[in-house]
Amino acid sequence: MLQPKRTKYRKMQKGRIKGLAQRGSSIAYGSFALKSMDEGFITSRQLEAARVALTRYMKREGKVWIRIFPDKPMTSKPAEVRMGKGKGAPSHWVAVIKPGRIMFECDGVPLEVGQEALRLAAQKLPVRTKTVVRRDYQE
Amino acid sequence: MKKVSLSGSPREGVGKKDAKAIRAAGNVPAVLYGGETQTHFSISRLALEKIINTPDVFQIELEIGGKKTTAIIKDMQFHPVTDLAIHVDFLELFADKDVTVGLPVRTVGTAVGIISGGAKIMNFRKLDVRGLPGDLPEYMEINVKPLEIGDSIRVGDIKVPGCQILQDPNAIVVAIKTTRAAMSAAAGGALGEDGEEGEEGEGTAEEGAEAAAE
Repeated sequence: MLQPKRTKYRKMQKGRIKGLAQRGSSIAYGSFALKSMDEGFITSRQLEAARVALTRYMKREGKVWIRIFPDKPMTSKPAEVRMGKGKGAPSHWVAVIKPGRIMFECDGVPLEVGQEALRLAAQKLPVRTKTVVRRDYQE
Repeated sequence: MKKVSLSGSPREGVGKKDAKAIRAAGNVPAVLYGGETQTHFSISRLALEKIINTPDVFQIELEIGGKKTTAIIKDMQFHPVTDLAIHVDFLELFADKDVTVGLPVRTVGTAVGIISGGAKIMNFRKLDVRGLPGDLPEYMEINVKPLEIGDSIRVGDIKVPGCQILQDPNAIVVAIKTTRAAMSAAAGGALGEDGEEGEEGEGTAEEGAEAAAE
């Protein structure tokens, strides 16, 4: 699963997700892409599940690009522990997603295959998505 | 380059409020520059979508308030969620002034390498070409028929009369590479199913190791 190699600080504040994606909102590498329509946190497990679904349907042909990276640490407290006594321990990593963000791109497969693969990948993600095709795409 | 006509109406005022009103009316704010003065105008979204949603590059004959000019699309901005065009930049063309355009690259024929199980890898969909507007072709054609597996065509191999390609001459434009299917077929075909299972198995093993570490 994806996670940073090393970080300056172990824990991070929750923060708020405001506005739309100002960068990473257009297709850069492939011909088809999965764009987020909502804001949210995508965990490294969800990202990996989506990648596996995508590559499995594409039968490992073509190429896949992951355009997001889970670089925000999330913490959790152990079960049956009273509130207080400090912040919990780091438990997993998430990617912060704003509406309009391109999350996956793929290429090297026919349009129908690419769109179906991205639909299957979207099933693994906690945000509403849409499939986008490059403007100058040609079969 | 292909030619197309577009008509626009000059903007009465510039600014956020005005631009929003233009978009609400089904038009797109635009600017024309490159000449003596810059002109702010608006064009119909429907007419614009027909030009931008194609792989072709157009030389546009703009008519703004009765004045005709020739231009190309230099830049575009899109809404991050809806993907609708929100602003377009046009660059005025002059017959005696060089212009840089991203021209589409198209391949002709089926490569020998593809017939024998390879796959075509296109590293560039468009190449930046500089030349006089009259010299610029519609697209660049590359004949890939003689290419075998492992062969490639570089930017330096492409010649456009009267124009200069701005990309690195050593950069590979088209290559024919071996596919995984072809490799497994060459290995005897027995590895196909097992290989896939092996990869999934690796994934679960990694997950298990990480969970144990936590």
